[in-house]
Amino acid sequence: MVERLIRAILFSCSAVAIFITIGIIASLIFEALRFFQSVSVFEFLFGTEWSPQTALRADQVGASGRFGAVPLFVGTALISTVALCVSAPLGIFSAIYLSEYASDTLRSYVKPLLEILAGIPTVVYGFFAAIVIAPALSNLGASIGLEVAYESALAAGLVMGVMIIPLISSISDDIITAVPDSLREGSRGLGATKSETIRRVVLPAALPGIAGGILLAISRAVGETMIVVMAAGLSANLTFNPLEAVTTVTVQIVVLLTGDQEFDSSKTLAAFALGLALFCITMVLNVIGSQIVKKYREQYD
Amino acid sequence: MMLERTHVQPLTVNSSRDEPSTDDASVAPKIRASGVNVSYSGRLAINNVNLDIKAKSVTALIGPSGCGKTTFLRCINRMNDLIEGCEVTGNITLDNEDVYGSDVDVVVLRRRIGMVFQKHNPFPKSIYENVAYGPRIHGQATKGDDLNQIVERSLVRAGLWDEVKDRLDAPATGLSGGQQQRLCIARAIAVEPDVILMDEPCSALDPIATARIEELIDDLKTKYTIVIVTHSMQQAARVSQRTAFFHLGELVEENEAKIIFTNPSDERTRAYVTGSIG
Repeated sequence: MVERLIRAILFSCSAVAIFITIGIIASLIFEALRFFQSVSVFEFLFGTEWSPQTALRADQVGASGRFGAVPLFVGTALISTVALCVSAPLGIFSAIYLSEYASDTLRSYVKPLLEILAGIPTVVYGFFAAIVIAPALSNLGASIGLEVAYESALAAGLVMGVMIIPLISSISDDIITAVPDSLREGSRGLGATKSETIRRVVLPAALPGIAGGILLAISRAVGETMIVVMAAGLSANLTFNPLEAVTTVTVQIVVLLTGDQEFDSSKTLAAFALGLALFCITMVLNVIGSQIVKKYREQYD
Repeated sequence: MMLERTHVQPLTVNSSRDEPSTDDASVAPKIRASGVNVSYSGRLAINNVNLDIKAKSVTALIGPSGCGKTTFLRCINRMNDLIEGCEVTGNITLDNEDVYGSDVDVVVLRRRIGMVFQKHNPFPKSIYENVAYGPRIHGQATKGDDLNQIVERSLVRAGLWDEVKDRLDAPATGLSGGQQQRLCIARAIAVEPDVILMDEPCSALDPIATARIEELIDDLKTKYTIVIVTHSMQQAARVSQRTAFFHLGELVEENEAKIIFTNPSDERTRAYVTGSIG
């Protein structure tokens, strides 16, 4: 009887968790569908102009909002790309160092330190980006005659890159450690040096897994909000220049939903459409990324 | 039996290292170990091993687990350098050159002394790339016909060519265990070594694959000096010309294989080969 009761309680807890998730996704889809009744999917996905202001009263100026999300996607991609350019090499190289060269003692200090880096609240990264990095970049740019926007994609991307270094380095470290020593010995036994062995055997063997880890990191970057809210721009600007201000999907969701809301305006509903798009992108990245990482970890067991 | 013993007597004299230049020592040892000690973080693993290894023959190292035979094998091509806390003292020479000399390039040494491991460990690359790995590293050939020739020759010698010639670009990990181990042998001989060290090369293989590897070892000894560590006394008896018995970190006895297995002089060797210890 007690056994059954415990079982029932545990079951209902997990059921609640699953139903809430399903409910959130359902509401996301439902509200997004409502949005797409007033704005066509085509305009949303391929339109290049984003100015989501809708009139509160019929006599206001600028009454017609434009909901082309391309500038937001491009802004997100631009910042994520900058972030990856920082974090992929730093993360992978530090993982190689930690797994192949560092002594056990050093490793036992550095790994927890990296995990602390992962534990810093993103809001802290955010104001660090906005208050320290962005002005510094702007001044640096000015001193060499480049115009760097105060809210440049570069500043947000750099700090976001630092934020995802621990993620990439920790996954890469796992993957590299999972490459069996017998392969390293085989290579060294043929007379290859340590760095030749790493370059020609260990890294090629680990590469698929590392790629999976990078996909997970991209997903993290795409969904990241606090850093870009503080350090990236608010206005949609379709550009590929990292020195200009861009905005991202997450920033626009925040902008759309902060302050007083009408719950049925296109402006508010647009947030759901953006949320759905974001969800689809990160879900695909996560599924592919974790499949690759998982498959890779199993490969040598 | 008596005839055999008298016949081998001079060889035993040869292997005592006080008189290296007696007339009977017409064949200088390929490898000579004298006073070799190995310790792992201060714990002695092998103690004062003296052993001569003849060129172009198979020498088997036998003994119970933990007796130091693999440790000794890995001293010869300095694979023990890779293990933290491992210290080797004493002297090992290859063709009268000190293997542990300060001017020795380990890369060159390991090119001359190839190694085949207990678990077949082909790289996760194609069959071709596995064999081409060593020649590329050592710059013997980097592409084109030269490399193709080396790959073909090595696979032929390892008795694998006919089985894989139509799928050289297939991943090596798709081969059977026995094929993978022969691929590892091909990979080792692709760099033209003088010596091949084999660390229990058949321990993960079924009897048929094992038999093929043993035939291969027999063929290879015409060209290479082979040192094989094995758990199987039958295997040592089948493939080796000379056999060394290790026990508790010491080299107890080394002699012609036949003598070790039929009429050993040390009581511990007799106990091991008759199965009462080990």
